[in-house]
Amino acid sequence: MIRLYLALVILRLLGRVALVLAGLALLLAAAPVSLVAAGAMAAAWLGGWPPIRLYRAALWCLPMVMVWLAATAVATRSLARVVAAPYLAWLAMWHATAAGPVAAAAVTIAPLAVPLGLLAGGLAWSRRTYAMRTGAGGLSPTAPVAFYQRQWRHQVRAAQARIAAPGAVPLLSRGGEVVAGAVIRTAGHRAAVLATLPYQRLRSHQVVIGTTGTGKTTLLLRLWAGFLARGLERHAASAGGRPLLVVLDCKGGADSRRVADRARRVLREAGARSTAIWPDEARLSLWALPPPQLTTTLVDLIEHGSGGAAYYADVMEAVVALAVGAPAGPPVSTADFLARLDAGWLAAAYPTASASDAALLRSAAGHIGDIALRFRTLFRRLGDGLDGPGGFDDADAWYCILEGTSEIAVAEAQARALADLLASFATHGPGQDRDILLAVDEFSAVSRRLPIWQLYERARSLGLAVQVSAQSWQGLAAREDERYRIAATADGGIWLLRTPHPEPVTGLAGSRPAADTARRVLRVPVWHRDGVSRMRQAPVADPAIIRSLGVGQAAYIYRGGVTFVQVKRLVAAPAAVTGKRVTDGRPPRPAAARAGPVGAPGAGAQPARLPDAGPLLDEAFGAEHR
Amino acid sequence: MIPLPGSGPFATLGLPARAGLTDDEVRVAWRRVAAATHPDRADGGDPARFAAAATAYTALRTRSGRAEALADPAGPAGGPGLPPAGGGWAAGRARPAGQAHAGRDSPAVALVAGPARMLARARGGRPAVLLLRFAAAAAVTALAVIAAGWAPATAGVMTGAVTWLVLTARHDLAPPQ
Repeated sequence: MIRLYLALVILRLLGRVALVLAGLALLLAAAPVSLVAAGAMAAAWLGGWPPIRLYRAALWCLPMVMVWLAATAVATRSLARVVAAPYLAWLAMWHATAAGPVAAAAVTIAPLAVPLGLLAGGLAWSRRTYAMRTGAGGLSPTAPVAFYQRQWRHQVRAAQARIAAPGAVPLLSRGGEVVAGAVIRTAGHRAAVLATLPYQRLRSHQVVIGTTGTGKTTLLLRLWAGFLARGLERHAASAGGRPLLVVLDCKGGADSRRVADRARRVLREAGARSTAIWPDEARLSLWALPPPQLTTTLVDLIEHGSGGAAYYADVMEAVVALAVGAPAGPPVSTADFLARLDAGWLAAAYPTASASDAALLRSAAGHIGDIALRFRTLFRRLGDGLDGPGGFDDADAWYCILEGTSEIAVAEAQARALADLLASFATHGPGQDRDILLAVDEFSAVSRRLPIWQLYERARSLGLAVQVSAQSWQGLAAREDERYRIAATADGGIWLLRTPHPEPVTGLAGSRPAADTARRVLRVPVWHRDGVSRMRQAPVADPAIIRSLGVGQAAYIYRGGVTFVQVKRLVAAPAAVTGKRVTDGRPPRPAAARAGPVGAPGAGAQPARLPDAGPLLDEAFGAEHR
Repeated sequence: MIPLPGSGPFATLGLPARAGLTDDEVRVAWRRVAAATHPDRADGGDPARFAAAATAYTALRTRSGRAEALADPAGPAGGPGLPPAGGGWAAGRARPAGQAHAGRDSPAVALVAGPARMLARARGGRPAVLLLRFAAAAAVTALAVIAAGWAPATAGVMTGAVTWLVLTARHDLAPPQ
């Protein structure tokens, strides 16, 4: 019995030795392929590549193989020699090696060994990564963890090298997809070198979360530029409406103006003809709203309470409706509207008022003064940004700066008005034919009177895409249910940059089945081959990785998969003429008017004075009004 | 002397190209240029320069328009309503409808301009890395020829080197202008 057992053990050992020897013989016989495979595996390990990259490289060797076979056919004029070319090359390689010139042997076998080696390397690398992913590989229990941490570093380094190459990451791919950057790693998404988004994904709702200094603005600028570039391309091909980008920057201050300036230059290079910066440089007209909408918007701009105060809100609404809906037509400016908030004006405007209107005017007469005072105060604080002239159709992109951190009440009113103006533009104006992307940054700062989910749902019903960005999960909206509502309906995907609390979003990304292997430890550090594997659910997006993302790195979560991206920064050419345009976060103050004489171009030029032809011009263009 | 048209809207109106210009300054400059070049003048004026000044005034009369002109990477020549003057990432791709083929070269011009553009892209990219890549491909090809002569495998190796060069070198070129 013992002899039989010993014989079995020896036989098993001999079998193993024979297998190892056979493997070694095979490796030696196919030495060039083995060498290329080893090199490919080393390169994949160093670059953190997925196996598919080696398979693709093997495919790209096809031209080499075809040329080699074609050249063989031309040289030998024999189909049989072409068919036998791999075997003959292998034989010739060994003969050349035996004769001495190794370089000649390498050249002889290269067209065959390189693609096969890459393929073999890909298979071996795939097996290795699978073993480490399932915990079945490595010499110690912590080896898989160390392997993946090291691979992450290698993948980041490779992605950074890729974005550093000037032509490796274009704004649009050849297929017209928007390229966000270089892929670091994917899980549940197709492994690719570049992270691309179809245009339609940007026409859907998206959420971007990342703390300050993580590259959120860089990512947003890239997405905006991609949206405009691709949208304009589609429009030029008559495949879609002209794109319109509206950014609501709800922080305000000097930083917002710096971003606006950068956005203008970036968007200009992406093809945008003009970027309007509101309210510093451009205006919109609240008075372009249809009268019923104008009444609602004007009433909503004024803060009013509930309970007993509701009575005054009703009175205010009635008076505003009378002022807006006067037979003479709706107001055309703030001054016009304020002038109408007068009992005398209203009485004159409705000379043949119905009994109900007359009763309304009589009962509201005592409040009209207060209402006028409130609106006068409101418009003084709002400034002239909403007093026109201008509309969203005037530019390809609007960058609206709301002072949400310093003047919250004003910013809230502005946000309300801008949302109504955009909704009206999208439904009644020329905006019906445009592809509109509304990007709101830190909207929670101004969302007290216009909840963001309401904006979200409204935009969805109007066919607008909304891109909400915030510094944290908590900054997305005021309440938890609102946050979940926003994140769960982001059908264009969620971008996560480094943030300390990514769990709610990574939870939304879901989980995927993963194998977990436990192996027996014989003694430290001997790790036995036997063990148990079981399936478990692992998060698609690992919160630990998201917490440790570097600057410019983002996780794009979409449909149960995640792609980690190294975002390529868009560097717009510096303005040809530089000037100190943003100083203290305020709009630039107009310089004292100087009569700039005409002459040689450029600053500081002292051109010759021209004769005064005022009368001639007045005759030609009409009198000048100062 | 009135500045030549086409040298930028600021120069056309004789204004310094700087931020902070007011509407009044632009209007006054426009009226002065218009007065000197208006076709209704007794001497016939200068219609071409008057038209250029009118275009420049249209571009610069708003603060937004002035900012756009200042932000133009190719120089303060553009303005609202004009396509970007500088070649950007989307240059040659995104053009208004009806101008989709604007700027496309004839075959003869393309034959001459193609290599020149490629050279410019190489200079704007990473020329040192490109040179290294070229040197590596050339070295492999030369080694193959020296070691194995003009054998079928040599042709294959040369093809492989060229494929590798084409696939990798484009990353080191600057984006097309």
